[in-house]
Amino acid sequence: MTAALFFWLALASYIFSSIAYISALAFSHDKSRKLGTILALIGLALHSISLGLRWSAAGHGPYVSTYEILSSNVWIAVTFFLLLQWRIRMFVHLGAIVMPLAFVMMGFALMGSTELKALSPTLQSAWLLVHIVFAKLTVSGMLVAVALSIAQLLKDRRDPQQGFLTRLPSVDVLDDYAYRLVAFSFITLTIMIITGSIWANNSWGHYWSWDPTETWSLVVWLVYGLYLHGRITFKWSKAFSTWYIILSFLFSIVAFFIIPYFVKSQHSQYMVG
Amino acid sequence: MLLRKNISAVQQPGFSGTKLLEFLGGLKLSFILMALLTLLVAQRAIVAQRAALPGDGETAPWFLLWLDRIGVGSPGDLDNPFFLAVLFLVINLGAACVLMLRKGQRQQHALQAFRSAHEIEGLPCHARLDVADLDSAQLCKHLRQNGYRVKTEQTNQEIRLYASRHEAGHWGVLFFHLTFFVVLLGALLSFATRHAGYLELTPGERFEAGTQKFQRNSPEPLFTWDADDFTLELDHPDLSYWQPGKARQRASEVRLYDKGGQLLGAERIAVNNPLKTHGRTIYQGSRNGFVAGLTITDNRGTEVKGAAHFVLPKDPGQLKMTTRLVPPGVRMALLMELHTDQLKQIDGLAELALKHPVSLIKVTSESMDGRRFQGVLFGGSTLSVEGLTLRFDSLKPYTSYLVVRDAGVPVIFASFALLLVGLLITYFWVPERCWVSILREDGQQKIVIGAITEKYKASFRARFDEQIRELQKERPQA
Repeated sequence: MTAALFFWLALASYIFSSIAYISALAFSHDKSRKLGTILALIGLALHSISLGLRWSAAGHGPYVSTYEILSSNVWIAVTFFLLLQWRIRMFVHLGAIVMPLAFVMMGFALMGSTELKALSPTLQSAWLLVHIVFAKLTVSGMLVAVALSIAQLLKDRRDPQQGFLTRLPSVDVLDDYAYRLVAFSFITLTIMIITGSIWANNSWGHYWSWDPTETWSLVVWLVYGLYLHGRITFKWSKAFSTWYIILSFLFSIVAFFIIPYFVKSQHSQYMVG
Repeated sequence: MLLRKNISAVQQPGFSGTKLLEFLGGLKLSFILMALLTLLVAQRAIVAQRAALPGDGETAPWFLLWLDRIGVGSPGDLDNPFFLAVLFLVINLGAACVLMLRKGQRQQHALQAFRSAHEIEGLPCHARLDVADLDSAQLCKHLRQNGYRVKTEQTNQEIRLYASRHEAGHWGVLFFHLTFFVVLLGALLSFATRHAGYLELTPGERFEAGTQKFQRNSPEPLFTWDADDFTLELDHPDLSYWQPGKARQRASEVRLYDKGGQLLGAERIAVNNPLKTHGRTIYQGSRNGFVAGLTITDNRGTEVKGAAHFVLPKDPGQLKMTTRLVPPGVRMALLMELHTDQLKQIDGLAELALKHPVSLIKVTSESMDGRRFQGVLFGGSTLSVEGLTLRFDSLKPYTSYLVVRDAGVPVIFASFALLLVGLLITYFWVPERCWVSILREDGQQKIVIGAITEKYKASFRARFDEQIRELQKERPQA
């Protein structure tokens, strides 16, 4: 109950942070930008308490149900964005894209069951933590790459020398960082698949079983691999690259979250509900 | 005419071979093959999920049904396309590696050369610094502080610097491509050597690897080799439940003996904690329950010993332990439902156990005429069913194991580690090279700096400009 209260407070903070970031970008309000960051930090703190309380009550990390998975994904994505903003100042205005995406994902989390679930014997493994952490890093990296791609599209559609878009980095730099983040996500996705494979071998006696979820994750890996390959081979235009990143992300959401929800597989024991 | 053709072929040795190599190892072919492989893996995913769709697919959402419609019939339909795609991919990877090795050596040699001011000004990132008090020693120090390795060359009028960092990254892509061969080797080894066998044991029962057959096993592998035999004996299963139907732990205590029957030790096998011994890995299975020993006698006095296996509940919504038995020589099946006080011994299942120290089986016959409840069979007692006499002799817990031998596993895991190293080098150990020319023109010192990188060029340019500003800022203009 208390965890749920902190979840709602975090959600509210993220919403207000989004508003502040958007107004900072639209009206060049430096105070709003600072407010957006502060609210995001407050939201993150409340979110951390919510996740911590749930962890303590359930006796395992937030990675068993759709609600827990999406909620902790948002936590990692917001942390990732705040670190990126701290290290690379020019990304500060991307909060106007990242924070709304974060609270929308929180909303999706609420669509799943919030009931506490016990871990099955298979899930009681140290590999689970490694597998899950890299899965979350993958989603976070992809999410920020999508935000950079949306920013690129906005700059491409309008005169980048006018209005609030001047406060975003140049299209070339945005494209460069989107590419870098996809490369990062590709590596974390590789680690996620590898750790899953080692764990499956340890638990079930085979490192690859063509389980629907693991096969779809291999398809996602190949789709992102094609992006990294295609950029070098065909010198894809920036517009094509941005759309590719956005569509690949949507595809990966379907592959990782929507299909396992409906299709019963070895992964279903932590994805359903 | 024929002679001229032969002479021409001799005069241009390897011409057609190089073209063929460039085609086979080309990036475009590689991209096409990768896209093809993506489609094939997606087909495999569709086939895999078809078997797992809820309610035989009738209640699945529209997009899954749509995906199902574009999928092939069975995994077997994909075998040949997969084989061909992987074969071409291997050829492409091999040719690409040869090309990368050749080009890489040439490029590396050319890139490490010092460059003149004119050449540096032809680079995409370059700048001219007009600072009088900046000498080569200070520039070297600045570059070294930024992680560059610096080489210097001095002539009468000019000092040239070549600085580089992350040069090993130049070979990252080649390394990454080579690791795919290790992945494929591991997969090939698994394909040729993997064998898995399933067995069930009750407490005190032994399984002698080598002489006894598994209850079920995978097809014989292409290659097999003699391994030391061993004997596995179950001491007792160790199961616990969060609630009936939701397992908390599946484990068992076992004893291991060598070929000669010498005790090697007591071990514990659990989910996520398999036992590795004698070149095999023994995994704890998820099938656990009770095995009832039965004697079935027909009206001519023929006696048959049999066993009925009852699996412990795996779903909180289905808590009954049932099984279906078809006795030999009769046209009916026996549906049996077990109730026992032995469930008290399993943590978390006490609420399903009988209160009294008794075990019983409810027996229902199933034939063309339908189902008919026949009565209750208590432990040690008999029950007559349609001309048969059933005797309930014993009830023991059982647990299951999977025994696997696979020579590809260590190779696959080593290849994963190499693959990761290759990826990290390729994308995050990107070579950066910098050239500097310091010369005197009209009595003034002129510094030209240029740099290149292989990836992330826009952010590299931003960093380069920042470095130039830093160098300008630190020293007043001449």
